[in-house]
Order: sequence, then structure tokens, then C-alpha cells
Amino acid sequence: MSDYLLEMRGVEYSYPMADQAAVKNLSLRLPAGRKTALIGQNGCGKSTLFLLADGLCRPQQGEILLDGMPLKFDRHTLNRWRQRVGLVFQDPEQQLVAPTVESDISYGLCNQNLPEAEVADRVQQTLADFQLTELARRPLHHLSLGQKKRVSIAGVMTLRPDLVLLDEPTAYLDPVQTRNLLAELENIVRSGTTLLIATHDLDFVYQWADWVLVMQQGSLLLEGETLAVFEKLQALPDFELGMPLLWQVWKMLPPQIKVKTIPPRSIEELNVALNFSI
Amino acid sequence: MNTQLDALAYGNALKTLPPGQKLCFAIALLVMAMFVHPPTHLAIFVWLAIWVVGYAKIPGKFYLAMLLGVMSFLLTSLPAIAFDFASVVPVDSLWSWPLWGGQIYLSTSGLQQALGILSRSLASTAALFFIILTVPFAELAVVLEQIRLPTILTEILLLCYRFIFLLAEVAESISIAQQSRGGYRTRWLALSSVSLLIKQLIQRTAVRYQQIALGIKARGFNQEFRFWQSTPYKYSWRYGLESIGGCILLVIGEVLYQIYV
Repeated sequence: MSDYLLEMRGVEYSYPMADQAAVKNLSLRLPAGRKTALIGQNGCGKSTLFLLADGLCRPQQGEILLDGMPLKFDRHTLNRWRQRVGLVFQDPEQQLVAPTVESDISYGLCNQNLPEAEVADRVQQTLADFQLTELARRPLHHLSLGQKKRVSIAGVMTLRPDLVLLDEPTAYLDPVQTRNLLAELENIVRSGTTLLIATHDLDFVYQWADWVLVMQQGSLLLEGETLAVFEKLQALPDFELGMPLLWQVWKMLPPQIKVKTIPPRSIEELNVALNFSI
Repeated sequence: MNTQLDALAYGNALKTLPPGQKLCFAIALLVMAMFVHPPTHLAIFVWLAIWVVGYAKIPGKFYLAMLLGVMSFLLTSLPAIAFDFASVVPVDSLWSWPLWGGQIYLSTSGLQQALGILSRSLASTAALFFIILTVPFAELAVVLEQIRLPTILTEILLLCYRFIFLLAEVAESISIAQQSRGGYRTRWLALSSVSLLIKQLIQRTAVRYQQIALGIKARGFNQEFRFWQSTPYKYSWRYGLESIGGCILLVIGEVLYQIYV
């Protein structure tokens, strides 16, 4: 078994009728069991990377591997692949297909031809895990956006995938919904699932991720530990996403305060660092 | 989109009854309404109103508004059935008026026919409303599957049900955006805004279709839409006995009507 859960080697993909490639000679490795964030400007190829990683787009060049096994585009391999790699779209409406919450969660399980009793057990378990039991029989169009997001993630997690790709999971959510979602993501990571999150929210990435991939114009610009990546990003003048607020605050502090501690990753850590220095 | 109707179907007081039980009851009354006479129609109508408003706890005002909506269509078509035009007025004519060399008249048979259609429509509408207001669509689809309706039909019904609300949301958001920018200020502007809305809706439907197709594939679509639903229903002997007993009484009443009237 490979140390890296997902690997892409020299992947190229262009959409039909497009002037330029959405993904160009992309090679990356995703370590297993880590909280990985994918950042980059709009149109840099993040969503295309997700579609490629889930076998929804077929690369024109290069190969994609999961645990060292290459992705083949026959129905059997794709079915197995999509059991192991779950994709949560930015807009939950894109993937919610059934009339009610419980039936939607069961959709992926039914597609695997599991026995009805097992489907029922796993749906009940997932409903409980995501605190959706109360909403089980509610129609999807009666839910709030935050609830729909939870259902869309639950529908993927019920398949017990090894890797979950989340496209802008905090988009459109208010702070309370975002906090709840982050707690659920923590639970997912604790269960042993690897997460790859595409986002523009650098504050979120800085606090949450322990591995960061940076894309630019369809290629991988940087990859590595969060602090190391942001250190390198700071030196890049044409990287226009800015820097996380905590990072900027830390950099503005006088050197005598920073001398004994590493950069803080949360407000609490910043508070501790300041108290320690004073 | 009338989401209130949908919300009531999911939240009514009869939601714990098996959908099959409710459907059998309503269909039995619907079939009965095809063959019985007006007094039995009225009995069916009143009895179903008790079920809907009394037992299912659907707000009376909402039920009445639904009935009035349907009845307004029906009442506009009744004069064409009740009144007739001929050069010679029949013997059972109740009223006539000379017009363009002929007679427009209201006959006993025409009136009876119109009243018969009205009462039958009332009873049938009440039976359909009972289904709409007490059986949520998802449960209806399960029953349709159980009675071996072709899978393709139930799949289409379920997808239509799911996406009709999505499209309604999109249409509503476009309409609000247009209103906020004065799109409906004059009659001409309103017409132009509606045509733009329809055009946008078609375009967005195509985009939405592509997105959904990707979403379904990502979830391992296996050539068939299959879902699992829990069945936390409880057969009610009290409602069961009332429905069977009531139907027997209606049949007896109809037989007596045919014998004595």
C-alpha cells in the first residue's frame, strides 16, 4: 500500500471547445489521513481536479492512482472507485436526488446493491451521526441550506469512503452553520477518512488544514505543511488570494514577542503566545 | 409552487396511517362516486371533509380555498350543460327565452344532468384532495412501486417531484431579482420580464440538468433510481372500521335510494 492515498501523475484535461487546458501536467500526492486543503484563484482548476479525482472526467494524458491502483474507466472500476472516493459539491442541490432525507442518504447504498436490512441500518446510523434523525422523513425542499449541506455530506459518508473531496463546504453558510460543519468534519477525520477541501477561505485553511495544495492556472504551484506553504506564499508577489488574518497579525507583531513561539493557528493560540511573551 | 400543500401532506394528523390504507379508502370512494346518485355524492363529500379537516387536521380555510378554486372552474362549465338551444322547446322545459329565431331553454333533464355532474365532481374532488393532503408524494411513489407500476414511471414521477421545487425556487429568485430592478413597473415591462424569465429558466434548466447528471454519477448511479424509506406506519383499527363501515352504509343508502326514489 502506498503512503499516499491519491496520486496524480502528469494529468492533463481540457473541456470540449475550450481554448486552453483546465488542468495542465498536474502531478500531486495526497497523504492519507490528513486534513488537506486545496487553494487557488477562481478558474485555476480546483473543481476540475475534483471531477478528475472522482472519475467524472477522463484525463487526456497522465494517470490517477488510489492507494497505488490506477483509475480505469470501466464500469466496475468506476463503481469501486466512487465507493472509496466521495465527492461533495459546492451546491448541495446538485447531488440531492431523492424526495426525503432518509431516502437520499440511502441512494448511494442502494446503488451498491446492499441488502435492505444493511441499507436500513447504515441509514439509521448515518442519520444519528449527523444529527439528522429528526429530519429523516422530511422532504429535501423543506430544509435550510445548512441542513442540505449536512444531508449531502451524510449521503457521501454513509458509503464509508477513504477519501472525501469537498468543494467549498463553507460557501453560503452562516457562522453557526460553519462551526457545526467544522465539528462534523473533525468527526469524519477522526473516523480515519482523509479530507480534501477546495476553498477560497484562507482563514479557514490556516486554522483547519495540516497539508495544503496550491493551484495556479491548472498546475500545482506548491504543496506541503500549512505553515511552510504560507511562508512560501508570502514571498510570491503575484499570488492574489491574500494571507490569513492570524498570519498577518502575527507578522505585524514585534520580533521580541515572536521569538519563543511558532506562529499561532487560532485565536486561542495567539492569546497564549502573547501571554507567554509578555 | 404550493409548498404549503406539500407541507400539510407531510405534517397532517393521519401521517402515521399506512399510505396503502389511505389510498385504498380514497380510491374506493372515487370509484363509488362514478356510479352512485347525487345524495350519495354529497354524503361522500361531507364524510371526506370530516376526514380531512376533522381527523387529518388540515386547516378548514385552506381546504375550502382549494375546493373553491376547483369549483370555480366547474361552475363556469355548468351553464353550457344546463342550458340548451333549439327551435322547439321540449316538454320538460322549466324556462325558455326566444333568441335568433330559436329558443334558449333550461330543461329538467338538463338541470338534473348539471347537478349530477356537479355532485359527482364534488365527491371525486374530495377523494383526490384526501389523497393529496394526507399522502406525501414519496409515500405515494412507494405504493405505486408496490403495486408493480413500471419503474421508469415511478422514477420519472420522483424526479419531477424533486426538480419541480428546484425550478420553482429558480423562477422565484429570478422574479424577485426582476421586481427589485423595476422589471414589472408597467404592463409592457412585465410582459418583457416574463418572457426573459422563461428564457432564463430554460437555460438554467439545461445547466442544472448537466450539474445533476454529474452529481448522480458521483453517487454511483447504477442505471436505476433506487431508494430506501423507513415505514413507521401503524394500521389503525378505529379508522379502518370507520372507513369500511362508512362505505357499507353508503352502499346501503344508495340501494335504498334506487329502490324508493
